[in-house]
Amino acid sequence: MSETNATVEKWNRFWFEPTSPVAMALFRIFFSIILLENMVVHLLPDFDIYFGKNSLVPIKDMMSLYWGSGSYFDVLALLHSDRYILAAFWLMVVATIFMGLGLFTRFSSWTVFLLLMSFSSHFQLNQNAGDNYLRLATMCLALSNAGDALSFDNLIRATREDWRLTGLGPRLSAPWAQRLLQVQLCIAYAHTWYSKMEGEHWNDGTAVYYAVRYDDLMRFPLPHFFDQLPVYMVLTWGTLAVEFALFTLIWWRPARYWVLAIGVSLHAGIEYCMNLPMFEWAFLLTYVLFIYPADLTRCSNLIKNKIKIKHGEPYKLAFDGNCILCIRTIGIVHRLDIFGRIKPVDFHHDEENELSGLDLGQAEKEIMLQKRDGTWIGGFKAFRFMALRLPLLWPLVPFLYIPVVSFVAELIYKLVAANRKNILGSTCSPGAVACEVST
Amino acid sequence: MTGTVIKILIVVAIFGVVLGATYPIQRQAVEDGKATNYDLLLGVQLRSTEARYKAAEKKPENIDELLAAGNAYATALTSSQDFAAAAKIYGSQLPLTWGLVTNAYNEKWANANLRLAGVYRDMDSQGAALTCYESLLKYDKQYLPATDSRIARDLNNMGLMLYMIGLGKAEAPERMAEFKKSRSYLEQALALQEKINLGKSARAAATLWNLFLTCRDLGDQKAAEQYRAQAQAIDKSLNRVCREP
Repeated sequence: MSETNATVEKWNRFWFEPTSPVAMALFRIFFSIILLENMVVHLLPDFDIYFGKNSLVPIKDMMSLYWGSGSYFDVLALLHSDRYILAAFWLMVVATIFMGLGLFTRFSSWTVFLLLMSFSSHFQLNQNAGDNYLRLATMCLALSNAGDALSFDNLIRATREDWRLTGLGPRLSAPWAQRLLQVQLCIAYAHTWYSKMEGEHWNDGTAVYYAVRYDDLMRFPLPHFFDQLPVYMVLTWGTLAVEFALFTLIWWRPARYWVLAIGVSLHAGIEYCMNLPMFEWAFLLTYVLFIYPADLTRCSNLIKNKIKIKHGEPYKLAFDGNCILCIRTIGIVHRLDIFGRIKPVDFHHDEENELSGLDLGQAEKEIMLQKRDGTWIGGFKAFRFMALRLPLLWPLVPFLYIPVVSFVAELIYKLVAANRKNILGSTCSPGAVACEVST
Repeated sequence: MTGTVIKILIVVAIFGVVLGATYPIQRQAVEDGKATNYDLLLGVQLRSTEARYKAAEKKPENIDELLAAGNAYATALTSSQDFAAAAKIYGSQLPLTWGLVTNAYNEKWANANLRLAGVYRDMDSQGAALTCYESLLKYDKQYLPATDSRIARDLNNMGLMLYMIGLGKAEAPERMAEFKKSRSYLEQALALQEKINLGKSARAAATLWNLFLTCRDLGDQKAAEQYRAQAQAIDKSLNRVCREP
């Protein structure tokens, strides 16, 4: 292979080799929280000052004084009432919540991005570098497949998929949007490093002395024993070294996690001394995208093992491997079971005899779960038992214990189980309620 | 692939529709902005008055036009905070107007002097402003009847300038000395206004407000409150609001 072809292949692998979307999904969830904080804590209290009819700079003046002949995307400029603009704000908040939950992720993230752009164009004077980064990151999220993992979309997809064919892991996809964000972060560090290198105080080692005394942004003062010139010189030149590493050495695999660690300490230090709302968190969060998928899996397995040691082996869940509804249900349970507390076992293929004491007749009709004392519970009761042990289902738990709800849910479960062949349109084995696998 | 193309087209369409629909509003706003922009309008005013003044300077025999053009240009300069240039123009009007009238009241010189004092006051040259006001008061007393309202105006201006000079003094005795002189001039102005039946006029209200400030800072709260009540009563009778400093 020629050198050019090897370079092209590396290039293609970097941008397009199918990769796990888990890192992007984690970024999506925590990034949504930062966005919500920005909207509800920073924008909402001064909403009228920024975006109302009587704002500090009304939109017509904003257009004539700041837009000039430039093109700005601002859907709010087409709304002629404060009420509609406020409604657009709440739509953005709801879309951000949906984006965080991974519900209609593509649509919700595009909605957030377009509205973020609109609000930033509508009043440009309250924007800083952090807001610019939020917009860029939202655009990358909208372009990515961040909804393919840790999301409602993924759960909904599980209701249509047979995991024996697709696998239980999230769908792999080209990570170019994730790479864009990684490159964007490096550009930001390269730019800030270059700008600092031109500054007199960054070269003479005193810049941090002034930065931590900037009244407008000051949070906590440096402890007095650090208030020495040699310390400031180390911090100033150390900042330059760290920022340099954050756009160079970060791409060298053996150094990546060390670079990320000192990057975290840099931002933690800034966060301690300076009050830059959401700016540090948005940058720190982007570090998640630099974690290799294999290491994320290793990390997840480590947590599962710790939980297994503390809380015991996973609970066995017997299911009918010949029933597509049961298979899809297991796909959903697996996605909800982020700590590995449930172990599904197909009772038709129980080669290791794990399901001792299971009533096969009952297992044909409903999913069965084995408790610690060895007894089996089925149907709705099994689901409720699982819900208590799967943190993602905890919001449902209080409702599952309301007598009327549990009674109705039990009835619905039995009704669905009895009619699953009609629901799924597939045929069943003779003499069995369970249906054949539909492929 | 088709799905991706459709999605891209939808995004492009959204951008196209929003930018297309916003463009006319933006263009209108930019046009309106140009038409009402204070800085732009001031720039136009500066350029036109400057041209008129330069043209008038070429015909010094037309003294009225030279003064009018100079006043218009200096007003524009004052609006654009270029007080030094405005003072230069008004200053040039003093020798120009001095010889126009002999042994009688020279209104053109008096007006030029008054305007020059105003510019000095605005540029914080309080000493120069006080000199102008003082010379104008002396001149007006020499040529105008003792009951002329312009003398009351000059007395009020002297009182105000002395009050402002007093505010700039760091030491209390020096400050009080200026305030006392200020009070004296202001009370003379008020007495004259009352004598010529201008005691309920807007000018009297201005003098009363000045007296309120001076008496307050002199520590004479009782007198200050009385002057304030009188000033407020006049403002109310004239339907004026927000006069209180």
